[in-house]
Amino acid sequence: MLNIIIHALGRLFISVFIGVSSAPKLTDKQCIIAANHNSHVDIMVLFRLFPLTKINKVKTIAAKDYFSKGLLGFMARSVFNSILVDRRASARETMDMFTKEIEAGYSLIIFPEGTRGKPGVIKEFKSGIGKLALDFPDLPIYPVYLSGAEKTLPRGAQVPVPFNITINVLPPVYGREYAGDNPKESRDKITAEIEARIRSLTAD
Amino acid sequence: MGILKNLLLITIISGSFYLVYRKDEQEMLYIMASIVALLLLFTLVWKLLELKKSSMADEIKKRTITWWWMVAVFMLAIALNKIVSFFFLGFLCFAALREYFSLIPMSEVYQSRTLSFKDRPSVLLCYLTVPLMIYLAYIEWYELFIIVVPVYIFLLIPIIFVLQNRTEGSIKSIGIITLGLLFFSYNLGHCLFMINISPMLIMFCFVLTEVRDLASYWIGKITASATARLSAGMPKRILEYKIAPDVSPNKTWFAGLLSSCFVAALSLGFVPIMPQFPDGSLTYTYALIVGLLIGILGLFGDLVFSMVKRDVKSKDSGTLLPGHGGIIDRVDSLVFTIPVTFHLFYWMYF
Repeated sequence: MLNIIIHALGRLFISVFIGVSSAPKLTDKQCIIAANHNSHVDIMVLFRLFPLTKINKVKTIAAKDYFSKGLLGFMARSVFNSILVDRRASARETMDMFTKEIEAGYSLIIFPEGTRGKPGVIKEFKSGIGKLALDFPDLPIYPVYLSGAEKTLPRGAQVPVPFNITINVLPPVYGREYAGDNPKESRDKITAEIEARIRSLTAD
Repeated sequence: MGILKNLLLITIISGSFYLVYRKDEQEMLYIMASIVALLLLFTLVWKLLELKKSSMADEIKKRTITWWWMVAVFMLAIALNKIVSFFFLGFLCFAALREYFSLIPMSEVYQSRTLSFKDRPSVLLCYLTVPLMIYLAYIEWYELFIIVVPVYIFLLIPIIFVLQNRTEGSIKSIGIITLGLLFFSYNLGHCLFMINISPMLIMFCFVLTEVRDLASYWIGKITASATARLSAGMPKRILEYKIAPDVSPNKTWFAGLLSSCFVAALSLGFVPIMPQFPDGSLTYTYALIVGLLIGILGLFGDLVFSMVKRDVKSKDSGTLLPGHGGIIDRVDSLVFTIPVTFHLFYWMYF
């Protein structure tokens, strides 16, 4: 309950002071969001895609070394339901954690770039998202392109400066459409497709 | 949801009417009633077009609904009390400023049309001038209100640049930032001090400017279809003489001046209902002059922001107001008309 109030206030704050474009709420029972990542604000903005009643059924992924202490850690753990991932852990272990959460009925927000990186630059997507798509072929994966957040709070900046943020939710990708004999090939195909859809909206 | 929204809209509008009625401001009631009547007319046009299944119906519908909401919120903000008006108009300035800075791309390497990520502190400073302007207007310190942005803040921005130890692209960035600062925090911010003078002055300026925007749209359409039927010759050439074809291919001098004259004529209607100022009340001649200036400045306000948007290669400044684009698309003419109207009144009657 407290969580919902925090989210409601947070939404009001980011709509009024930062100026986030409205986007239709996702109505799927369970889904995965794959978005480009440039800023700490991204996660707040992406949570807006879910109705308030559903936010406790959404989980995010965060690096353990960075998000385990202090205010950031508190926000990650209690407000954004983050699964803390050890960066040194093997890919398989990490993927197992995601699989477990999806099987438990949670929706996931994933940043396939893996890191915030340079502002405005989209790095190559990691293929974990493709593997999840193949493991759960009927789960919709929404590629989401965020722009403006990199100006509001880029990596390394301390103080947020409001700039309008636009959310573009693209049509979902389903793992079932890419299933083939060679899992590695299909995985890369899905990853490339999600990345291409997001990149198609970038200015250049 | 639709019914609920309509109910809320009606509550806001009738609530603001009741508030003004309680304050016994007859003149304000006339203005508000005329605005609502105008909107009802537009709603009627939209319904008629929908019946005729015209292709314009959807566009008009979206615009009219947004108009209803903008008018409702605006009337409530003006009717409630002074503090609310300050915050509402201040927020309008802030939102327009934010939209302007968001419009311009940002990049880490030097490019001619972009801001740099190092400009963020100066942009934040620009935002912070808005609450400062609200405060100065609230305590009615006119002298500082009028110079704080063009003198102190304007000089502070280059100082910040020097302290950041920057060279490359600095004059370009300072140019982009101070343009936004002067347009939206200073010029548009003049509406904050108008609250102190009289809400009627705000109505005078806002109504005439927005009506000019609407009128020029229709006058432009009508004159274009009329000139298309003329045979080639001198009159046609005069009627088709464009103001700036690269900035806005459809704006002609004739339609622009015609809508300015229309606004000047309309401004006469305000004369009997304007309040008594310290140095007399508004005369018909002076209303005509101010009205004509609002018409001409509004025209150029529109064009200037078309130019800005073309420079950054974007069609609408935002997506906040369905059918209109962004906030800048709505306040562009106000940036030009507000300061001039304010100073003309202040000089003549105070």
